[in-house]
Amino acid sequence: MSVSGESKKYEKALPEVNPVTKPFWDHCKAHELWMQFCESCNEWIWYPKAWCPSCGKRESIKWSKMTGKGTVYSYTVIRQVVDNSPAFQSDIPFLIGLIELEEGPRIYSNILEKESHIGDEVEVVFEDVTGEITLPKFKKKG
Amino acid sequence: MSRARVDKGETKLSIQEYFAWAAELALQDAVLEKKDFDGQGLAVTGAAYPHSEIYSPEVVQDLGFSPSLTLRSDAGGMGGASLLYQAGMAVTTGVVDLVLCLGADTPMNITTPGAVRTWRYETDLQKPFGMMGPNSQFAFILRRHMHQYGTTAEDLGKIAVTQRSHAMKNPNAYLKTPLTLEQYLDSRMISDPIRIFDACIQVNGGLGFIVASNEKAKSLGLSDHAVKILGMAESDNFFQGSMLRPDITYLGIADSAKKAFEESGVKRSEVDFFQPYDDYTIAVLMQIEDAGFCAKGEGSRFVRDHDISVTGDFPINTGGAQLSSGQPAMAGGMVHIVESIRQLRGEGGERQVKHAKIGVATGIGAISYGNSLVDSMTMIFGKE
Repeated sequence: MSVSGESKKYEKALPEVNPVTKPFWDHCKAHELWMQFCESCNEWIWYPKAWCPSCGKRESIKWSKMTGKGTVYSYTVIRQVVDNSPAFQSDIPFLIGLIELEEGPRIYSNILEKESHIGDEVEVVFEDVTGEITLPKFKKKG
Repeated sequence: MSRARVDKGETKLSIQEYFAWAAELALQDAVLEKKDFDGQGLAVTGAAYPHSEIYSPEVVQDLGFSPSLTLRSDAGGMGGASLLYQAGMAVTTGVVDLVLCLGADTPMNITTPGAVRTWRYETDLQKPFGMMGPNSQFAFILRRHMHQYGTTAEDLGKIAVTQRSHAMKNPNAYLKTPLTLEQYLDSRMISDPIRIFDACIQVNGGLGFIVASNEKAKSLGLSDHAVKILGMAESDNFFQGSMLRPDITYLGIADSAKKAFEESGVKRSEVDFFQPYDDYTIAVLMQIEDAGFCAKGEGSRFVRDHDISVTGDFPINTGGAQLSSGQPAMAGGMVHIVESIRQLRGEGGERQVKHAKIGVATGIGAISYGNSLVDSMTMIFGKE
């Protein structure tokens, strides 16, 4: 039985948090975007990894805060659900971008706009989708 | 190749039946018996359905083979090519003389949503944002290709339409109704700018081929029947530019084709047909560029300027391949190899490329995080 005012159950795909990705999701929950950085290579690492894919060191990896600003490198408009949660159906059409952050890494995420273009400037916003998971999404800057 | 639409009178077979059928056809073709493979090699691609991590032992028992070597691939679309590569190494080093390579999959039999699990970064960092697997991955790639080089839907449409015309001449193909450029352009977007006719069609199916050492082929009297591997190379996790910011309009074919052509001594101008792995039309166009048949970014112009049909100057995917004959999921990479063998033996029937002596096929697989695809193989085949 549902209780009045209880939030609707989130039915879309959720990440499975593991020790390697936990810092990323913990920071998202605090509404901050953090990624790994290799102090040996002086280069960012994304997605989260257990060693630096450039130099092969483990101890040189540190987590660091990003500005959350970037540009659209590429994007798609989803018009059909295939091998993903049927709950995405109600959002169609929606946008996903491959966002190039100003520090360098590229992240897949939703662009919360009706349309987009390559090169559009965007910035991160946070959506608390469950009590545990907050997803970083992007909207046009300004 | 079947969509298992029982309501339309199509057959619905299990993966066991497809493996048995493919094994039977491969043995018949080589005039070999099951016992000839005792103590030899058996190679199988993975399966999306039923998904099973320990799989080759099941196939070995199902078919009753007693091999002394089992090979398996988990490279997605590069799976068939990977079996060929591994089998080639096994017979070259003398571990075995013969390897029966089989691929079968039954994606149309999946009844439980979520039965197919993929890689961690897709589960954790792509699907939660609503990414729809390869449809979306290729949409990002195509958007960049259009942006950087001016590629148009008409160019991709020509690939879809031509491959359909080839499928219509292929008894094993699934889609055999004609496709026009207008129909292609009117087809619905699934992950903009990817249209439904840009994507391959999933089917249940099975395929097989046999790899033998030169000596074994000779002693079995199969030298005239066999097709030679002139060059072959794999390139995984290739990135054009930096690892963090690769140019996603490139596939690892840019690297593996260079090596395979060098190894074979074959010139691009000597190639009689090209069977690029075709999960999407844009993958075909990118591989024309990456395999060195034209400069990067000029794939569109190449497709416009050349006749890519079986009677043309640059025949592509001569049996309709996955876009039209069908993609049996994890066994899809076998399609391009089997069609290459048929063409070089002159068994292409209505779709035969005249005087085909040298053919190139590829396998690409596994969507990446932030790049194009992870795995790439280029194979160069020849017939005396």
